[in-house]
Formats: sequence, C-alpha cells, structure tokens
Amino acid sequence: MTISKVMKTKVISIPETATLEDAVRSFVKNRVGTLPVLASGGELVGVLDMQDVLLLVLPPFVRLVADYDFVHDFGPVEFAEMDDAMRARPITQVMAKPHAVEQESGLLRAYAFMNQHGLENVPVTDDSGKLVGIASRVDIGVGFLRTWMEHHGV
Amino acid sequence: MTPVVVSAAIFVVVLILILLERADRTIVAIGGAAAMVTAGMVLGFYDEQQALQAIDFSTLGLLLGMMILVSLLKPTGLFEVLAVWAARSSRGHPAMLVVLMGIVAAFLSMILDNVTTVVLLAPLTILIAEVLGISAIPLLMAEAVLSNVGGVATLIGDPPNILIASASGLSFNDFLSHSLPVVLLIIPLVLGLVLVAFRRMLAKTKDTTQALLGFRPEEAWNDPKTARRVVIVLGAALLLFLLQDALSLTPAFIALSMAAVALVWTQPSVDEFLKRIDWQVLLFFAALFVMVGGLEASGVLELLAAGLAARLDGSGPAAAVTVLWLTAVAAAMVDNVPITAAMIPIILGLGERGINVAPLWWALAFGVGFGGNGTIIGSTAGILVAEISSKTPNPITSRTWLRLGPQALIVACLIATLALVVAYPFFAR
Repeated sequence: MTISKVMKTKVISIPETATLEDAVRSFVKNRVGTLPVLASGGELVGVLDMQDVLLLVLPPFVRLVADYDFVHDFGPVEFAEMDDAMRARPITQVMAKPHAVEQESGLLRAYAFMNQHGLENVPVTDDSGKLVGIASRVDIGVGFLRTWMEHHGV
Repeated sequence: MTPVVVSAAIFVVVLILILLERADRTIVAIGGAAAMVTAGMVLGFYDEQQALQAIDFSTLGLLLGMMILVSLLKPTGLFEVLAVWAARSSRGHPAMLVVLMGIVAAFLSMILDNVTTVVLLAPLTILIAEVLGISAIPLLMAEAVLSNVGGVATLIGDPPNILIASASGLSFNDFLSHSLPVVLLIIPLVLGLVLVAFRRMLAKTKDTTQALLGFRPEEAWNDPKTARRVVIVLGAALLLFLLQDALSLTPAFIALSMAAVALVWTQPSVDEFLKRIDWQVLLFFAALFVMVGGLEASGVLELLAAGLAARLDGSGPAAAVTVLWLTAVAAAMVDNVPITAAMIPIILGLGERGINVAPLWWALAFGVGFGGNGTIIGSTAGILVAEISSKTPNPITSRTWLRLGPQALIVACLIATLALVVAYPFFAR
C-alpha cells in the first residue's frame, strides 16, 4: 500500500509569507499540530511544528531541565506572553526543513522516514515537489492494520 | 634549537585555538598531541614510548573514579532536592537565595568537579528564578564564580588540583589544611561582591509564598535508594581520602575502588551510566599530557625553568606571589588545565635547582583556581553558565561578567597573597 492511499488530501497549510501570529491563529482555528509551509506555486518549502512554536513561548527552563514535575505552581510563568516582535516574526525563520515523502512511497518507507526525522505528521509531495497530502502516525498505523484485517478477513 | 621552537609552536597554536573556541578543545588537543609525537619522531626529540609514559594515569584514574560516582548520583534527583531546599529555605528573598545557592555551589564543587556542579545547578536555578519571578543572573553568576572558588579547596575539587597533587605528592589532608582555610575566607567576601554588584536585581518585588509552596522536594526524588547508597560510598571515599597518608593509598586507587563499590552496590544500566561520564575530559587530559611530555623532551620547559629560576632569585614569599599572580592572569585568558600541566614540570625543574617549591605548588593551585574567574572565558564553569543562560531572554554577557568576575579574581588572589605572605613558613613546609 502506498502512502497516497492513507494520507489526508485536504491539507491545512500556510503560505511562506505568513507571520508567527498567522501560524498561531491557524493552529488554534484548525486544531492541527503541523503546518506545511508552501511557496506561491504550491511547492513545499518547510514545515512548522506546533512544538517548535511552543518552545518559543514557553519559559526557557522547559528546554533546559528534563525533570521539573516537582513544581506544582508555576506562578507568573504559567501564562506565557508572545511579544509583538515575536508575533511579527516570519515563519520562515522558525520552520523546519521540508522533510516529505513522495506519494509513491510505501507505508513502511513513510514509517521509517518519520522515525528517522522524529515527525508526528509527514507531508506527501508529487514529482515536482508540490504538496499533495499529509499523513499522521495514526493514518499510517491504520493503513497497516487495515491491510492486516483484509488479509485475515477479520 | 629546532625541537624547542617546533614543540613550543605546536603547544602555543593549541592554546590559541582553545582560546579562540573555534573548535572543541578535546579535538584540538588530540590533534596537537598527534602533531607533537610526529614532530618528535621526525626531529628525534620525542617518541611513542615517551608519549605513553608522559600520560599521568593516576590523574586519569582519580578523574574517572569521581566521574563514575557523580554519574550514578546525577539521575537520582539529589541535586533537584538540594536546589528546591535552597529555594524554600530562602523564603523567596533573592539575596538569601544567592547566598544559599552560592554556598551550595561552593561546597558541591569541593567534592564534585566545578563543571559538573554548574551544569547540574544552572538549569534548576533558571527554573527556580523564573517561577519566583526574580532575575537568574545574580544566582548564576554566584554559582559560576563560587564553584571555581570552592574547587580550589580540596584535592578532588578541580582538575588542576588533581594534577598538582599527582606531581607534588601533596595529599588530601594537605589541601584541607592549606587550601580550604583560604577558600573559606574568600567565600563570604565573594558572596558580598555578588550582593553589591547585582543589588538592583535583588530587590524582592512580589509575594512568592504561593510559588514556594508549589515546590515539592519530596517529589523531586527519582531514585532515593540509589542516592542514599552513592552518598554513603562517597562518604566512605572522603573518609579514605582523609586517611590517605596513614593507609598509604593513592587518590586514584581510592576513587576507582569506591566507584567499583558503588557500581556493584547500585547495579546501574551500563549503557546509561557510561553515557554520563565525561570521556572528552579524560581524552583532553591524556592528549595534554602527551603534548606537555613533548615540551619536556624538547627542552622547552627546562629553558623556562632556568629563566624563571634566574628571575625568582631563590625562593621566599615574593616568588610564590609572582607565580600566583602570573598564573592567575594566564588562567583568566586560557583554560587553566594546560597552564597547570605546563607549569608543573617547570616547578619540578625549579625544585631540581634546589629551590623550595612547596609554596609554589600552593601559589599555582590558587592562581589557576581563582584566575579562571577573571573573564567570561577563563573557566569552563563560566563558559558553560554563560552558554546555558544564553538560552534565556536575559543571557550573561561579557559585560555582566565584568561586574563580578575580575573583582572576584582580585579579592581571591589578594587573600591568597596575604595567606602566602603571612603564613609563609606554613606553606613552605
């Protein structure tokens, strides 16, 4: 089974000209964790992950301390603020490399690719590098399980 | 003359590369060691056999033993508990927190390596400062500077002391009787400097009672059972260090055998604990020994010793004070380990000329130990604290460092000068 059989084809993406504030609005409105960043022609130029945006807003110790669940009340840092400069930052400064698989890729290839690059969602592109879909770990898992069901007639 | 020039050039290039921080110091040192041995073989002043003999395995053994003990302690949560205890005991007063964290850093680094101390404490400090809504800068500065000061107090507190002890034969107790009192005098003075330098950042602004109650030290423990066992073994190791002379044991044997006891007792996952050992430090030291061996074989250090002997004009407090301030200034600019490693054969050379070098060992320990505070790049502890703080919105810059570092160097070296002059007969024994 190829990735194109299990991917979502209706993809919430964001143009490369967007700011961090636009991205935040999109994350909140669409409840997605990954926003593929597209050039005007639809080519995938980057990927913006919610985790990377959170790390910009959350207090710095989140990145520095591995174990801090002994703090029960974070007081003033509970409410993170995004300042104007941060909101106006172009997402091209924050986005990650456009790790994507081709639409002909098999499920195991996509699975290996996600593990290798630590992705929760993997964008899928056509031969010309244009975004055609996105698949989550669940989508790929469901693809595997469905094959198994069909084989065994469960 | 060619061997002298070539070997000196290799060493100086290595020092400059480390100073410029263009490449990792371990890689630079390994490259330098290879260059030194190659040059030695080509020019006939140094060979593989001599290079191997130049490696001081008792220093490496002591470092490795202590690293194993610390690596077992790291994941237990003990350091988190200590930091939380300090936060709660301060009752949210920034100045009180500076004093407590500074004292924790100074005393921890008497037993642990300075670098380990700040790497463990700095991230927790940033967490505590943010939750309490106070600036982390005075706290981090106090920790960096006081871990450098505290490390001077004991034989195991700082790598230069380990090198000096290994070369001079000074024991753990010698450090406790000579170095610890000087350090104990300096700690409160440096704390005072921190409180004055950062007084504006230390005003208590808001009520932190609620935030403090939110810190639960009991929940900071990950593995209290292992922590208890390793602390017991560490205590036994300290006891053996105290009895080192009576039992005629070497520090390396004590550290490695106690590390073995701790490993057998706690049975950690080998993969995990091996990852937490600073192998790069051990490699850096080994490479440095090979390079200094080359300097010795080519006659560079002999020349320097002869030059220094002529200038120092015998011994006396003046010679010790000269070594103290010279090495302090050098250590403020370059990593103090190569300086110590290069100074040791020079001082041994002075000893061979009939000069009483006992006070010079102490001058060297004080100079390289306190000198690192002079600049932001003077000590690895300082570099790491600045690096960790650069991940926060208020990083420690060279300007921040200038508010405390040089002053701390001067105060510490003045106290050390006073000690060397006033108690000269004691240090000269």
